[in-house]
Amino acid sequence: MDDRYRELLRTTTTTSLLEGLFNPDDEVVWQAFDTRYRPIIIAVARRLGLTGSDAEDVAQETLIQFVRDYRAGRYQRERGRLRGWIVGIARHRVIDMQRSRGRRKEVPGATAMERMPQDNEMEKLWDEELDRSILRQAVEELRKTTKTSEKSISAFEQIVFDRRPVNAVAEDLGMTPHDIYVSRSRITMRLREIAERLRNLYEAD
Amino acid sequence: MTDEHSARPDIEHIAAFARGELDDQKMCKFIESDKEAMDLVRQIQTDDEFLTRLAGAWSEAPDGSGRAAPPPADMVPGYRILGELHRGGQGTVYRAIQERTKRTVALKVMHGGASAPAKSRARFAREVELIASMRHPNIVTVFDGGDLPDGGCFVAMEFIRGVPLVRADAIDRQMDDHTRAGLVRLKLDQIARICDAVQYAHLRGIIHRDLKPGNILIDRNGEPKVLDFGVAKVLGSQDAADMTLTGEFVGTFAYAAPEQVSGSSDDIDTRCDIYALGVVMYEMLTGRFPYDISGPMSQTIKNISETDPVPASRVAEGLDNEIDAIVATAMAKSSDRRYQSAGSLAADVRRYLAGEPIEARRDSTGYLLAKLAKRHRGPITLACVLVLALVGLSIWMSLLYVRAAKAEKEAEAGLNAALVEADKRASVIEVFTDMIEANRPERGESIAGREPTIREMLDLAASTVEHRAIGRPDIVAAIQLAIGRSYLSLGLPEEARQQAEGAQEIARQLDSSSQQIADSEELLGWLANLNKNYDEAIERFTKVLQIRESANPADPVLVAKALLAIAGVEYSLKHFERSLALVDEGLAVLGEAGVNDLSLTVKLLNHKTRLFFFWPRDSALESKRDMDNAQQIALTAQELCEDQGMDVPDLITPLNNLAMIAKSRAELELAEEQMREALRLCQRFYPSNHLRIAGMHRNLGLVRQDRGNHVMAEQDFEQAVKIYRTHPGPTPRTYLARSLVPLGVSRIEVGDYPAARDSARESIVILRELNPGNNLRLGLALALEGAALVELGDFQAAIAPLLEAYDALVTAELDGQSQKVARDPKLKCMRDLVRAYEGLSMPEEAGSWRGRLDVARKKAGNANRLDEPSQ
Repeated sequence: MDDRYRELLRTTTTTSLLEGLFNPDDEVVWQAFDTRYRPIIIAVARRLGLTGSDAEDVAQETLIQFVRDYRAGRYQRERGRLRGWIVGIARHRVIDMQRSRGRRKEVPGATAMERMPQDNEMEKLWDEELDRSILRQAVEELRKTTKTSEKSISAFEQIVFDRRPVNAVAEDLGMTPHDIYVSRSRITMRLREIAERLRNLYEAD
Repeated sequence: MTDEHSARPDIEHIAAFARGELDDQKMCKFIESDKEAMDLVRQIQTDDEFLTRLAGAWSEAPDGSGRAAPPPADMVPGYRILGELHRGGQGTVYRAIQERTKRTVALKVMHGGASAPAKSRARFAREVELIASMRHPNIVTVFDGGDLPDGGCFVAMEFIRGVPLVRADAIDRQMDDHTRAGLVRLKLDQIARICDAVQYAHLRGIIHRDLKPGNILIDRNGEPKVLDFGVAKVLGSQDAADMTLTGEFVGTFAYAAPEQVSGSSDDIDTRCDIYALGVVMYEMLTGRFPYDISGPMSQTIKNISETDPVPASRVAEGLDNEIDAIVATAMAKSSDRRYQSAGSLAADVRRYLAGEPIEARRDSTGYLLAKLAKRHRGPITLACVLVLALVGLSIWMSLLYVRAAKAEKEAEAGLNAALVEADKRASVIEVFTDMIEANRPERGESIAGREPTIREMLDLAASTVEHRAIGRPDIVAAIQLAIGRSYLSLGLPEEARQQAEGAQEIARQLDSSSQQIADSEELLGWLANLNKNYDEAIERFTKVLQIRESANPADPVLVAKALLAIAGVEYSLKHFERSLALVDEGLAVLGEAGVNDLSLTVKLLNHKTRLFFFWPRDSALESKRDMDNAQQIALTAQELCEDQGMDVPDLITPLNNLAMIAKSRAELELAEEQMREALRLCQRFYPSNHLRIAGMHRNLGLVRQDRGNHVMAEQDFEQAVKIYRTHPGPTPRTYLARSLVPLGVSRIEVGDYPAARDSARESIVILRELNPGNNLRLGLALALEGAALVELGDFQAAIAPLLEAYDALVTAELDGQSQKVARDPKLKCMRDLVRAYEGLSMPEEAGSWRGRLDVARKKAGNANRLDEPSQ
C-alpha cells in the first residue's frame, strides 16, 4: 500500500503534492516533495560557493522553513511562483551560511558581500539546475526500465558520456556504427519523452 | 578512395557531415542529394543538440568545473591507467600500474560532481587505512586510496585475474548425480570461505554493505576473493534504500536485506551482510534469484520484505532441506532470526559438509525475544521489551557489532570467554522469557481482564521466580538481580531492594559464589546512590571492591569498575580530589594488569573529563587549566576509540564531551561537527528511541542554539522530546522537561509562540512534580511561558508566571551556583514584565520594573547586551 502510494506520488505534479503537504502526518508526501526539490537546492547552493555539508544544511533548513511557512498559509500561488518562494528562503539561508563562514575565516567583509546572491541570479541558477536535475532523472529512469537492451544503453553511455569514438564502441560491443546511431536516436527520443513528462511534474514552478 | 566515393555514404560520413566536420567535398554533395541521408543528418543534429545538454547535466559538477572527456592516463596521481575494466553506477574501475611499485592494480575511481559526497579528508584517510589493513586469503587487498582534484576519490586494490562468481560453473540439471554432488560440495566450500572473509572483516568493524556475486571473484585456483570490502562506505556510495532514488541498478538491490530496503538505515549492521550471503548462496546453488526481481521496484521491495523464497531444494537438484534451513536462516526477514555472525553461518555450512547436525533450526535468543514481543501487543509488548532490555542484554538490539569491534583487539581466549559468558546469560534469558510467557493473558492469568502493566509483570515474575528454575539457585539469583535492575529502572527502588537482598541471601547460602554477593551489593549500592544515601553507597561499593580485590585471581576489570562506581559517588558528594584519585587508581589497575578493555578505560577517562569540566574553581586561570585538562583527556579517549577501528560506540561520550568543551569555549562550529558525529554514532548503535539518542539530539540543539540556528535547533529538541516522551520514569521525564525549555526558546526565536507556550507549560508541570527544589529550572520554564504569552499579546496571563519566574531566578542566583545561567534569563524576565505591564496599560508597575531592570543591568555590567524594551 505504502509502496504504491509512493510510486503514485513519484508521478504526481508538484501542485498536487503541495495539496498533500498540508497534512503534517503525511510523511510520504513530504518525502516526495523533498526528493524532488532537495537536490536542486543543494546544487544551487553549491554553485554559490558553499561546500558539501553547508549546502546540505541550507537545503535542509530551506525545506523545513518552506513547509512551515506553507502550512502556516504564508505561501499563496497567485503571489508568485513556487520557485520564487523557495529561492527567497534559500537565499537567506545561503547568506546566513556565508556570513558565519566569512566570520570564521576572517575573510574581509567585502568578499562576503560580493558573493551575496540576488534573487534573479538565484532563479537563473535554479532553472539551470532544475533542467539538469530533470535530465539526470531521465537517464536514471531510462536505466531502470527494461525496454532498452543493456548493450544499447552501454553503447549510448559510452559515446555520450565518455565521448568515446563510435567506431571503438561498435567494435567493443560487436555492433555496427549504423546500429549505434539508430539506437542512439531511439534512446534520445525516449529520454526526451521522459524529460518532458518529468518537466510537467514540476509545472507549479 | 575513389571506390569508396562511389559507394553509398556510410553513417560515419553522414555523422561527420551533420557536425560540419566532413572535408570531402564530393561526399558532401553526394549526401546533400540523398534524401534518406539528409533525414539522418537532421536526426543526428537534433539528437546532438539534446545530447550535449544531457552530457553536460550528467557529468558537469555544479560549479561548472566538471568534464566528461575520457580519462587521461595520469588522471590519478601516482598511477598510469591502462584501460577500463568495468563501469558502474558507483564509479569506474580501471586497470592501472602503480608507478612506485610497478605492480598492476585495479583502480576504482569515483568522480566528483553533484553526487559526490563531502567527506572529511582525515576520515577518508582513516577509513582507507582501515580497509587497507585487512589481509585475508579471501579478500581482495586494498593498497591505497586518496582524493582527486575534481573532488572525487579513488581506491587502489589488488588486481585479480579471475571470473566473477556469476560466470562460474553453474550446477546443471543435465549433470550426473556424482558430478553434481561434487560441484555442490565445491560451492559450499567456497561459500564457507566467503563467510570467513566476511567474518574477518566484521571482527574489524568493517561491514561490506554491497555483497553480491559481482563483488566476488573466483581466481584461477578456485579460491573466492571478496572485492570492495568497506569500499562502499569509503567511496561514499549510498545504501540500497537511497539507490532506488538515485537510480542505481536493480542488481544490487536484490541483495539488500529487508531492513535496508525499508529504508531504516538505523538498522543496518553486520547482519545485512549475512542476509546478502544467504542470497549469494541461494544463487550459487540454484543459479536463480530467491525472488522475482523482474517486476517494478515496488514489487521487488515487497518481495524482499514479505515473500518467503521458494526453498532452494525445490528449484535445483542435489540439494536437501538442511541446505534450505541454512539458506532460510541466513535470509530470515528479521535480522534477529538470522545467523548472528558470518562465522556461525560458515560453521553451519561446514557442519553440513562434515555430515554433522546443523544449528540453523535453533532459534537465536534475539529472535526469541523479538517473537515474544510480537506475540503480545500493547502494554505487555512494552513490558517484555522493557524488561528484557533492562536486563542489560546488549545482544537483543543488534549490538553484535559492538562485540565484533571489541573483540578485534582481544586475544582469542578472551573472545571465547566472552562467548561462554554470553551463553550463560542466554540461559538466564530463556528461563526469564519462559516465565513471562507463562504469565500471558491467553492463559487466563491476566489481571482483572486486561493486559498487565510492566509493574505487574515484574511483580508476577518476582513472585514466581523460585518455581521457574528449580535446582539452579545461581540462575534464580541472577534473575532476581535482573528483576531488581528492572525495578530500579522503573523507579521502584524498594522492590529492587527486595530482589537484591533475595539474591544476596541465595548468594550467601551458595557460599562458593562471593562474586554474586558482590553483584548484589553493587545493585544495593546503586539503589543507595539513587536515594542519595551516598555514605551507604560508598560503603557498599567499597565492599564490592574488597570482594573483588581479594578474589584469586582478582579480575582487574571488575576491580576498576568498583573503583569507578565509588568515584561516581564521591563526585556526587563534590569530593573532586577523592573522585579523581579513585579514577586514576582504576586506570592504574587496568594499566598494570595490561588489560585492554576499551569500554571501561574510556568510561574512566570520561569520568575524569567530567570531573575537570565541572570542577568549581575560584580563579579563571585554574578553570582554564581544568578545561584544557578535560579536553586532553577527552582527546585521549577519542584516540583510543579510533585506534579500534572506524566506529565504536565508546566514542560517543568522548565526542559529546569534546563538543560540550568546544561549546563552552564558543568554538561552535567544531562543537556542532563533533555533536553531529556523536549523534550519528549513537543512531548507529542504539535503537531509535534510546535515551542516549535523545540526549545527543538535545546537546546538538543546544550547540545550534548557540550558533543562532534556531530552525535546526528546534528540530533537534523536537527529536529529543519525541524520544523522552516514550519513556516513563522520573529521570527521562526530568530530561523531557529540560528539553522542552530550550525547545520553547527556539520556538520563540522562529516565531511559533503558541507552541513555545505549550512546551513551557508541559515542562512546568513536570518540574513542579519532580524537581520541586530546583529554582533555576523552574524559573527558566516559567520565564519562557511568560515570554511566549507576552509575544502572543496575552499580557494578563503572562504576569503570574513572570513574577514567579523572577522569584525563582533570584533565588537561584542567590544560591550562588548558577549566577551566569540565571542572570541573563532574569533580566529577560524583567524586560518581559515591563512589556506585559505596558501592554496592560499599567504604567506604574511598568515603570517600577523598568527601574529595577536598569539597576539589575548596571549591576550585571552588561547593560548594552540587552535591547531596550520594544514598546
